[in-house]
Amino acid sequence: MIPALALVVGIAAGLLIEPSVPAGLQPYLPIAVVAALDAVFGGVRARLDGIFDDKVFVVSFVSNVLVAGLIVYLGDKLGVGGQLSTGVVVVLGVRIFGNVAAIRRHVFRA
Amino acid sequence: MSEPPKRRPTPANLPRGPWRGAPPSPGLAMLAELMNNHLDAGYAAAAERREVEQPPSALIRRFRTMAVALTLVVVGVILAIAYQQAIARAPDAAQAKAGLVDDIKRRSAASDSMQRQADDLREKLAKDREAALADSAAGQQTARQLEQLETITGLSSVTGPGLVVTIGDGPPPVDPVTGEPTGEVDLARVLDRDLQELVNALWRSGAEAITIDNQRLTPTSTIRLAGEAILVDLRPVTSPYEIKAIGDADRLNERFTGSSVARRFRGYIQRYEMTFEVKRDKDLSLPASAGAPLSYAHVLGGAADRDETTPPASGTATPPPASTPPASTGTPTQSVPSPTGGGR
Repeated sequence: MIPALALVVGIAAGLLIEPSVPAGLQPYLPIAVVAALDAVFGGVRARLDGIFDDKVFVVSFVSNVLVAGLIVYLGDKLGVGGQLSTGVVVVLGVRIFGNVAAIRRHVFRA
Repeated sequence: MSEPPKRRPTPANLPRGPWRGAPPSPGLAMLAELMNNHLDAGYAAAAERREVEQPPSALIRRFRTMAVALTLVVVGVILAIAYQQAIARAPDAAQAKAGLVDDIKRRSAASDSMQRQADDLREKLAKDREAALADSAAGQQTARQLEQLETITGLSSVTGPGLVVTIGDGPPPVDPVTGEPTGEVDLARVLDRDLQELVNALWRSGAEAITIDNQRLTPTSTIRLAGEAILVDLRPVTSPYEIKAIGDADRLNERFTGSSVARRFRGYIQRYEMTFEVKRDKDLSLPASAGAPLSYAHVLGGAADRDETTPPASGTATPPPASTPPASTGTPTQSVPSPTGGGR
Protein backbone atom coordinates (compact mmCIF):
# COMPACT_ATOMS: atom_id res chain seq x y z
CA MET A 1 0.00 0.00 0.00
CA ILE A 2 2.71 2.43 0.98
CA PRO A 3 4.73 1.78 -2.21
CA ALA A 4 1.69 2.42 -4.43
CA LEU A 5 0.96 5.64 -2.55
CA ALA A 6 4.61 6.66 -2.86
CA LEU A 7 4.47 6.10 -6.61
CA VAL A 8 1.33 8.23 -6.93
CA VAL A 9 2.90 10.93 -4.75
CA GLY A 10 6.01 10.89 -6.92
CA ILE A 11 4.03 11.25 -10.14
CA ALA A 12 1.93 14.03 -8.66
CA ALA A 13 5.03 15.82 -7.38
CA GLY A 14 6.74 15.51 -10.77
CA LEU A 15 3.70 16.88 -12.56
CA LEU A 16 3.10 19.71 -10.13
CA ILE A 17 6.64 20.87 -9.45
CA GLU A 18 7.83 20.32 -13.02
CA PRO A 19 11.47 19.87 -12.08
CA SER A 20 13.76 20.86 -14.90
CA VAL A 21 16.20 18.27 -16.14
CA PRO A 22 19.70 19.49 -16.95
CA ALA A 23 20.20 19.50 -20.69
CA GLY A 24 23.10 17.07 -20.39
CA LEU A 25 20.90 14.48 -18.72
CA GLN A 26 17.93 14.74 -21.03
CA PRO A 27 19.13 12.10 -23.54
CA TYR A 28 19.24 9.56 -20.70
CA LEU A 29 15.70 10.19 -19.54
CA PRO A 30 14.01 7.61 -21.81
CA ILE A 31 16.55 4.98 -20.81
CA ALA A 32 16.06 5.88 -17.15
CA VAL A 33 12.31 5.44 -17.61
CA VAL A 34 12.75 1.97 -19.12
CA ALA A 35 15.22 0.98 -16.40
CA ALA A 36 12.92 2.27 -13.68
CA LEU A 37 9.96 0.38 -15.15
CA ASP A 38 12.07 -2.78 -15.21
CA ALA A 39 12.92 -2.37 -11.53
CA VAL A 40 9.31 -1.62 -10.60
CA PHE A 41 7.84 -4.58 -12.49
CA GLY A 42 10.58 -6.79 -11.10
CA GLY A 43 9.66 -5.65 -7.61
CA VAL A 44 5.94 -6.23 -8.16
CA ARG A 45 6.57 -9.69 -9.49
CA ALA A 46 8.92 -10.53 -6.62
CA ARG A 47 6.24 -9.42 -4.22
CA LEU A 48 3.65 -11.65 -5.89
CA ASP A 49 6.17 -14.49 -5.85
CA GLY A 50 6.51 -13.85 -2.14
CA ILE A 51 10.22 -13.16 -2.29
CA PHE A 52 10.22 -9.36 -2.33
CA ASP A 53 13.18 -7.78 -0.61
CA ASP A 54 13.42 -4.04 0.06
CA LYS A 55 17.16 -3.86 -0.24
CA VAL A 56 17.27 -5.78 -3.51
CA PHE A 57 14.57 -3.57 -4.93
CA VAL A 58 16.29 -0.30 -4.03
CA VAL A 59 19.68 -1.49 -5.16
CA SER A 60 18.32 -2.96 -8.40
CA PHE A 61 16.54 0.26 -9.21
CA VAL A 62 19.57 2.47 -8.60
CA SER A 63 21.97 0.15 -10.39
CA ASN A 64 19.55 -0.37 -13.28
CA VAL A 65 19.21 3.34 -13.92
CA LEU A 66 22.91 4.02 -13.43
CA VAL A 67 24.14 1.15 -15.57
CA ALA A 68 21.66 1.88 -18.35
CA GLY A 69 22.68 5.54 -18.31
CA LEU A 70 26.36 4.62 -18.23
CA ILE A 71 26.04 2.24 -21.18
CA VAL A 72 24.29 4.89 -23.23
CA TYR A 73 26.80 7.52 -22.16
CA LEU A 74 29.69 5.27 -23.17
CA GLY A 75 27.94 4.49 -26.43
CA ASP A 76 27.51 8.20 -27.11
CA LYS A 77 31.22 8.74 -26.50
CA LEU A 78 32.10 5.84 -28.79
CA GLY A 79 29.67 6.92 -31.46
CA VAL A 80 27.37 3.92 -31.07
CA GLY A 81 24.92 5.51 -28.64
CA GLY A 82 21.92 4.68 -30.78
CA GLN A 83 22.80 1.01 -31.06
CA LEU A 84 23.61 0.65 -27.38
CA SER A 85 20.38 2.43 -26.46
CA THR A 86 18.55 -0.06 -28.64
CA GLY A 87 20.39 -2.90 -26.93
CA VAL A 88 19.50 -1.62 -23.47
CA VAL A 89 15.88 -1.10 -24.44
CA VAL A 90 15.66 -4.60 -25.96
CA VAL A 91 17.15 -6.32 -22.90
CA LEU A 92 15.09 -4.32 -20.42
CA GLY A 93 12.02 -4.63 -22.63
CA VAL A 94 12.31 -8.43 -22.70
CA ARG A 95 12.61 -8.44 -18.93
CA ILE A 96 9.66 -6.14 -18.49
CA PHE A 97 7.56 -8.32 -20.75
CA GLY A 98 8.59 -11.46 -18.89
CA ASN A 99 7.86 -9.93 -15.51
CA VAL A 100 4.53 -8.53 -16.60
CA ALA A 101 3.64 -11.97 -17.97
CA ALA A 102 4.48 -13.49 -14.58
CA ILE A 103 2.42 -10.81 -12.83
CA ARG A 104 -0.43 -11.55 -15.17
CA ARG A 105 -0.21 -15.24 -14.35
CA HIS A 106 -0.34 -14.36 -10.66
CA VAL A 107 -3.23 -11.97 -10.95
CA PHE A 108 -5.46 -13.72 -13.48
CA ARG A 109 -4.19 -17.26 -13.00
CA ALA A 110 -3.87 -17.46 -16.75
CA MET B 1 25.76 -13.51 -17.32
CA SER B 2 28.09 -16.18 -18.69
CA GLU B 3 27.63 -18.69 -15.88
CA PRO B 4 24.94 -21.23 -16.65
CA PRO B 5 21.62 -20.58 -14.96
CA LYS B 6 21.72 -22.29 -11.61
CA ARG B 7 18.83 -20.87 -9.75
CA ARG B 8 16.35 -22.04 -7.25
CA PRO B 9 13.37 -23.00 -9.36
CA THR B 10 10.65 -20.58 -8.44
CA PRO B 11 7.19 -21.31 -9.72
CA ALA B 12 7.34 -18.38 -12.09
CA ASN B 13 10.34 -19.47 -14.11
CA LEU B 14 9.19 -23.02 -14.43
CA PRO B 15 8.29 -22.79 -18.14
CA ARG B 16 11.65 -23.59 -19.65
CA GLY B 17 12.48 -23.23 -23.29
CA PRO B 18 13.87 -25.92 -25.54
CA TRP B 19 17.39 -24.70 -24.67
CA ARG B 20 17.29 -26.77 -21.52
CA GLY B 21 19.12 -29.72 -22.94
CA ALA B 22 21.31 -27.80 -25.34
CA PRO B 23 25.07 -28.10 -25.08
CA PRO B 24 26.55 -25.31 -22.98
CA SER B 25 27.42 -22.35 -25.13
CA PRO B 26 27.99 -18.95 -23.55
CA GLY B 27 25.87 -17.14 -26.12
CA LEU B 28 23.06 -19.64 -25.83
CA ALA B 29 23.19 -19.59 -22.05
CA MET B 30 23.04 -15.82 -22.12
CA LEU B 31 20.06 -15.83 -24.45
CA ALA B 32 18.32 -18.48 -22.36
CA GLU B 33 18.99 -16.41 -19.27
CA LEU B 34 17.64 -13.34 -20.96
CA MET B 35 14.51 -15.06 -22.22
CA ASN B 36 13.71 -17.09 -19.11
CA ASN B 37 14.94 -15.30 -16.04
CA HIS B 38 13.34 -11.94 -16.05
CA LEU B 39 13.48 -11.51 -12.32
CA ASP B 40 16.51 -10.06 -10.65
CA ALA B 41 18.46 -12.98 -9.20
CA GLY B 42 18.91 -10.94 -6.05
CA TYR B 43 15.31 -11.57 -4.93
CA ALA B 44 15.75 -15.32 -4.88
CA ALA B 45 19.10 -14.99 -3.15
CA ALA B 46 17.64 -12.65 -0.56
CA ALA B 47 14.75 -15.01 0.06
CA GLU B 48 17.22 -17.84 0.55
CA ARG B 49 19.19 -15.71 2.96
CA ARG B 50 16.08 -14.80 4.89
CA GLU B 51 15.39 -18.45 5.56
CA VAL B 52 18.75 -18.85 7.19
CA GLU B 53 19.26 -15.53 8.93
CA GLN B 54 17.14 -14.13 11.72
CA PRO B 55 14.64 -11.41 10.82
CA PRO B 56 15.92 -7.84 11.02
CA SER B 57 14.86 -5.50 13.78
CA ALA B 58 11.75 -3.34 13.48
CA LEU B 59 13.84 -0.21 13.04
CA ILE B 60 15.68 -1.64 10.06
CA ARG B 61 12.41 -2.87 8.58
CA ARG B 62 10.87 0.56 8.87
CA PHE B 63 13.96 2.15 7.36
CA ARG B 64 13.79 -0.26 4.43
CA THR B 65 10.14 0.48 3.85
CA MET B 66 11.00 4.15 3.74
CA ALA B 67 13.77 3.45 1.24
CA VAL B 68 11.33 1.57 -1.00
CA ALA B 69 8.82 4.40 -0.72
CA LEU B 70 11.50 6.95 -1.55
CA THR B 71 12.61 4.90 -4.55
CA LEU B 72 9.05 4.73 -5.80
CA VAL B 73 8.70 8.48 -5.35
CA VAL B 74 11.79 8.88 -7.51
CA VAL B 75 10.32 6.48 -10.09
CA GLY B 76 7.14 8.50 -10.10
CA VAL B 77 9.04 11.74 -10.59
CA ILE B 78 11.02 10.20 -13.46
CA LEU B 79 7.83 9.02 -15.13
CA ALA B 80 6.23 12.43 -14.67
CA ILE B 81 9.27 14.24 -16.06
CA ALA B 82 9.43 11.89 -19.04
CA TYR B 83 5.74 12.43 -19.71
CA GLN B 84 6.11 16.16 -19.50
CA GLN B 85 9.17 16.13 -21.73
CA ALA B 86 7.31 14.05 -24.29
CA ILE B 87 4.36 16.43 -24.45
CA ALA B 88 6.59 19.48 -24.07
CA ARG B 89 8.75 18.47 -27.00
CA ALA B 90 5.95 18.34 -29.59
CA PRO B 91 4.87 21.96 -29.09
CA ASP B 92 8.56 22.87 -29.03
CA ALA B 93 9.03 21.51 -32.52
CA ALA B 94 5.89 23.27 -33.72
CA GLN B 95 7.02 26.47 -32.05
CA ALA B 96 10.44 26.27 -33.64
CA LYS B 97 8.80 25.77 -37.02
CA ALA B 98 6.43 28.68 -36.49
CA GLY B 99 9.36 30.78 -35.35
CA LEU B 100 11.26 29.95 -38.51
CA VAL B 101 8.25 30.80 -40.65
CA ASP B 102 7.90 34.11 -38.80
CA ASP B 103 11.59 34.72 -39.32
CA ILE B 104 11.27 34.10 -43.04
CA LYS B 105 8.25 36.36 -43.31
CA ARG B 106 9.92 39.13 -41.33
CA ARG B 107 13.12 38.90 -43.35
CA SER B 108 11.33 38.93 -46.66
CA ALA B 109 9.25 41.90 -45.52
CA ALA B 110 12.45 43.69 -44.55
CA SER B 111 13.99 42.71 -47.86
CA ASP B 112 10.92 43.99 -49.70
CA SER B 113 11.03 47.32 -47.91
CA MET B 114 14.73 47.66 -48.65
CA GLN B 115 13.98 46.82 -52.24
CA ARG B 116 11.38 49.59 -52.34
CA GLN B 117 13.84 51.96 -50.73
CA ALA B 118 16.44 51.03 -53.32
CA ASP B 119 13.90 51.60 -56.08
CA ASP B 120 13.01 55.02 -54.70
CA LEU B 121 16.64 55.99 -54.36
CA ARG B 122 17.37 54.78 -57.86
CA GLU B 123 14.51 56.85 -59.20
CA LYS B 124 15.77 59.85 -57.29
CA LEU B 125 19.25 59.26 -58.59
CA ALA B 126 17.94 59.07 -62.13
CA LYS B 127 16.01 62.33 -61.68
CA ASP B 128 18.98 64.10 -60.14
CA ARG B 129 21.24 62.85 -62.85
CA GLU B 130 18.82 63.96 -65.50
CA ALA B 131 18.63 67.39 -63.90
CA ALA B 132 22.40 67.61 -63.67
CA LEU B 133 22.89 66.53 -67.27
CA ALA B 134 20.12 68.70 -68.69
CA ASP B 135 22.29 71.82 -68.69
CA SER B 136 24.55 71.13 -71.62
CA ALA B 137 24.06 69.59 -75.05
CA ALA B 138 26.74 67.00 -74.35
CA GLY B 139 25.04 66.25 -71.09
CA GLN B 140 21.68 65.80 -72.77
CA GLN B 141 23.18 63.38 -75.22
CA THR B 142 24.78 61.45 -72.40
CA ALA B 143 21.44 61.37 -70.60
CA ARG B 144 19.71 59.96 -73.70
CA GLN B 145 22.40 57.36 -74.11
CA LEU B 146 22.15 56.43 -70.48
CA GLU B 147 18.41 56.05 -70.72
CA GLN B 148 18.77 53.72 -73.65
CA LEU B 149 21.39 51.65 -71.97
CA GLU B 150 19.38 51.41 -68.78
CA THR B 151 16.31 50.28 -70.69
CA ILE B 152 18.23 47.52 -72.38
CA THR B 153 20.01 46.40 -69.25
CA GLY B 154 16.83 46.47 -67.21
CA LEU B 155 17.99 49.19 -64.86
CA SER B 156 15.03 51.48 -65.48
CA SER B 157 11.31 50.79 -65.33
CA VAL B 158 9.60 50.59 -68.70
CA THR B 159 6.08 50.50 -70.05
CA GLY B 160 4.67 49.22 -73.31
CA PRO B 161 2.53 46.58 -74.97
CA GLY B 162 3.41 42.94 -74.76
CA LEU B 163 2.53 39.46 -73.59
CA VAL B 164 1.66 38.01 -70.21
CA VAL B 165 2.57 34.33 -69.93
CA THR B 166 1.25 32.54 -66.87
CA ILE B 167 2.46 29.09 -65.95
CA GLY B 168 1.58 27.19 -62.81
CA ASP B 169 2.30 23.88 -61.13
CA GLY B 170 -0.08 21.03 -61.74
CA PRO B 171 -1.50 19.12 -58.78
CA PRO B 172 1.09 16.95 -57.03
CA PRO B 173 0.80 13.18 -57.49
CA VAL B 174 -1.56 11.75 -54.91
CA ASP B 175 -2.03 8.25 -53.68
CA PRO B 176 -5.17 6.93 -55.36
CA VAL B 177 -6.27 5.22 -52.15
CA THR B 178 -5.54 7.68 -49.39
CA GLY B 179 -5.54 10.89 -51.37
CA GLU B 180 -2.37 11.89 -49.60
CA PRO B 181 0.57 13.28 -51.57
CA THR B 182 2.78 10.34 -52.40
CA GLY B 183 6.01 12.29 -52.25
CA GLU B 184 7.11 10.93 -55.58
CA VAL B 185 8.99 13.06 -58.05
CA ASP B 186 6.48 15.71 -59.01
CA LEU B 187 6.48 15.91 -62.77
CA ALA B 188 3.80 18.60 -62.77
CA ARG B 189 6.05 21.12 -61.04
CA VAL B 190 7.43 24.05 -62.93
CA LEU B 191 11.20 23.84 -62.86
CA ASP B 192 13.81 26.53 -63.25
CA ARG B 193 14.56 25.01 -66.64
CA ASP B 194 10.97 25.59 -67.75
CA LEU B 195 11.12 29.25 -66.83
CA GLN B 196 14.51 29.57 -68.51
CA GLU B 197 13.15 28.07 -71.72
CA LEU B 198 10.04 30.26 -71.68
CA VAL B 199 12.09 33.40 -71.06
CA ASN B 200 14.57 32.48 -73.77
CA ALA B 201 11.70 31.83 -76.16
CA LEU B 202 10.32 35.28 -75.35
CA TRP B 203 13.70 36.92 -75.92
CA ARG B 204 13.94 35.00 -79.17
CA SER B 205 10.47 36.18 -80.17
CA GLY B 206 11.53 39.79 -79.82
CA ALA B 207 10.82 40.74 -76.24
CA GLU B 208 12.64 43.84 -75.09
CA ALA B 209 12.05 43.63 -71.37
CA ILE B 210 10.88 40.70 -69.27
CA THR B 211 9.82 40.22 -65.67
CA ILE B 212 9.07 37.04 -63.76
CA ASP B 213 6.66 37.73 -60.90
CA ASN B 214 7.61 41.40 -61.17
CA GLN B 215 11.32 40.61 -61.01
CA ARG B 216 12.95 42.36 -63.95
CA LEU B 217 15.47 40.30 -65.83
CA THR B 218 18.83 41.77 -66.73
CA PRO B 219 21.64 40.35 -68.85
CA THR B 220 23.15 38.92 -65.68
CA SER B 221 19.92 37.56 -64.20
CA THR B 222 19.79 33.96 -63.06
CA ILE B 223 16.80 31.64 -62.81
CA ARG B 224 17.65 28.66 -60.74
CA LEU B 225 16.26 26.05 -58.43
CA ALA B 226 17.37 26.21 -54.81
CA GLY B 227 15.90 23.31 -52.92
CA GLU B 228 12.17 23.54 -53.53
CA ALA B 229 12.05 27.17 -54.59
CA ILE B 230 12.89 28.93 -57.81
CA LEU B 231 15.04 31.97 -57.35
CA VAL B 232 15.22 34.81 -59.82
CA ASP B 233 18.26 36.88 -58.97
CA LEU B 234 18.27 35.36 -55.49
CA ARG B 235 14.65 36.35 -54.82
CA PRO B 236 12.11 33.53 -54.60
CA VAL B 237 9.19 33.40 -57.02
CA THR B 238 6.17 31.15 -56.57
CA SER B 239 3.65 29.36 -58.72
CA PRO B 240 1.75 30.54 -60.68
CA TYR B 241 4.63 32.30 -62.35
CA GLU B 242 3.69 35.39 -64.30
CA ILE B 243 6.10 36.28 -67.04
CA LYS B 244 5.52 39.69 -68.58
CA ALA B 245 7.34 40.62 -71.77
CA ILE B 246 7.25 43.97 -73.52
CA GLY B 247 7.51 44.00 -77.29
CA ASP B 248 5.42 44.23 -80.42
CA ALA B 249 2.42 42.43 -78.97
CA ASP B 250 1.16 40.89 -82.20
CA ARG B 251 4.50 39.76 -83.47
CA LEU B 252 5.54 38.57 -80.03
CA ASN B 253 2.31 36.64 -79.65
CA GLU B 254 2.60 35.06 -83.07
CA ARG B 255 6.22 34.08 -82.74
CA PHE B 256 5.99 32.95 -79.14
CA THR B 257 2.83 30.88 -79.45
CA GLY B 258 4.25 29.31 -82.58
CA SER B 259 7.49 28.39 -80.87
CA SER B 260 8.29 24.81 -79.99
CA VAL B 261 8.59 25.77 -76.33
CA ALA B 262 5.03 27.12 -76.18
CA ARG B 263 3.76 24.05 -78.03
CA ARG B 264 5.47 21.84 -75.50
CA PHE B 265 3.97 23.70 -72.57
CA ARG B 266 0.50 23.56 -74.12
CA GLY B 267 1.03 19.81 -74.16
CA TYR B 268 1.82 19.90 -70.45
CA ILE B 269 -1.66 21.29 -69.76
CA GLN B 270 -3.16 17.98 -70.88
CA ARG B 271 -0.44 15.74 -69.59
CA TYR B 272 0.29 17.15 -66.14
CA GLU B 273 -2.64 19.53 -65.61
CA MET B 274 -0.22 22.40 -65.42
CA THR B 275 -1.60 25.83 -66.19
CA PHE B 276 -0.21 27.70 -69.15
CA GLU B 277 -1.76 30.82 -70.55
CA VAL B 278 -0.61 33.49 -72.99
CA LYS B 279 -2.41 36.82 -73.02
CA ARG B 280 -1.78 40.02 -74.92
CA ASP B 281 -1.70 43.22 -72.94
CA LYS B 282 -1.78 46.71 -74.36
CA ASP B 283 -0.20 48.41 -71.41
CA LEU B 284 2.39 46.58 -69.37
CA SER B 285 4.53 48.31 -66.80
CA LEU B 286 7.72 46.57 -65.78
CA PRO B 287 9.74 47.66 -62.76
CA ALA B 288 13.46 48.27 -62.85
CA SER B 289 15.82 45.55 -61.79
CA ALA B 290 17.68 45.98 -58.58
CA GLY B 291 20.72 45.41 -60.74
CA ALA B 292 23.95 44.20 -59.26
CA PRO B 293 26.45 47.05 -59.34
CA LEU B 294 29.49 46.16 -61.39
CA SER B 295 32.52 46.42 -59.19
CA TYR B 296 35.19 44.95 -61.41
CA ALA B 297 33.98 45.41 -64.98
CA HIS B 298 34.91 48.78 -66.45
CA VAL B 299 33.84 50.38 -69.68
CA LEU B 300 36.65 50.14 -72.22
CA GLY B 301 38.66 53.35 -72.49
CA GLY B 302 36.27 55.12 -70.14
CA ALA B 303 36.42 55.41 -66.42
CA ALA B 304 39.17 52.86 -66.03
CA ASP B 305 41.03 54.96 -63.49
CA ARG B 306 38.04 55.46 -61.26
CA ASP B 307 38.43 54.89 -57.57
CA GLU B 308 37.80 51.17 -57.12
CA THR B 309 36.56 51.31 -53.58
CA THR B 310 33.45 53.30 -54.30
CA PRO B 311 30.80 51.22 -55.94
CA PRO B 312 29.84 52.77 -59.23
CA ALA B 313 26.45 54.36 -59.46
CA SER B 314 24.07 52.24 -61.44
CA GLY B 315 24.37 52.93 -65.09
CA THR B 316 27.84 54.42 -65.14
CA ALA B 317 29.36 51.10 -65.99
CA THR B 318 27.13 49.26 -68.38
CA PRO B 319 27.42 45.62 -69.24
CA PRO B 320 29.01 44.73 -72.55
CA PRO B 321 25.81 44.00 -74.53
CA ALA B 322 24.95 47.68 -74.42
CA SER B 323 28.25 48.90 -75.80
CA THR B 324 26.71 49.12 -79.25
CA PRO B 325 23.38 50.76 -78.55
CA PRO B 326 20.73 50.25 -81.16
CA ALA B 327 18.73 53.14 -82.57
CA SER B 328 16.86 54.93 -79.88
CA THR B 329 13.39 53.73 -80.82
CA GLY B 330 14.37 50.58 -82.62
CA THR B 331 13.70 47.21 -81.16
CA PRO B 332 16.79 45.48 -79.90
CA THR B 333 16.12 42.35 -81.89
CA GLN B 334 19.64 41.15 -81.31
CA SER B 335 19.34 38.42 -78.78
CA VAL B 336 20.13 39.72 -75.39
CA PRO B 337 22.27 37.25 -73.45
CA SER B 338 19.97 34.54 -72.29
CA PRO B 339 19.29 34.79 -68.61
CA THR B 340 19.80 31.19 -67.92
CA GLY B 341 21.18 29.86 -64.72
CA GLY B 342 22.69 26.73 -66.13
CA GLY B 343 21.64 23.19 -65.43
CA ARG B 344 20.54 22.08 -62.05
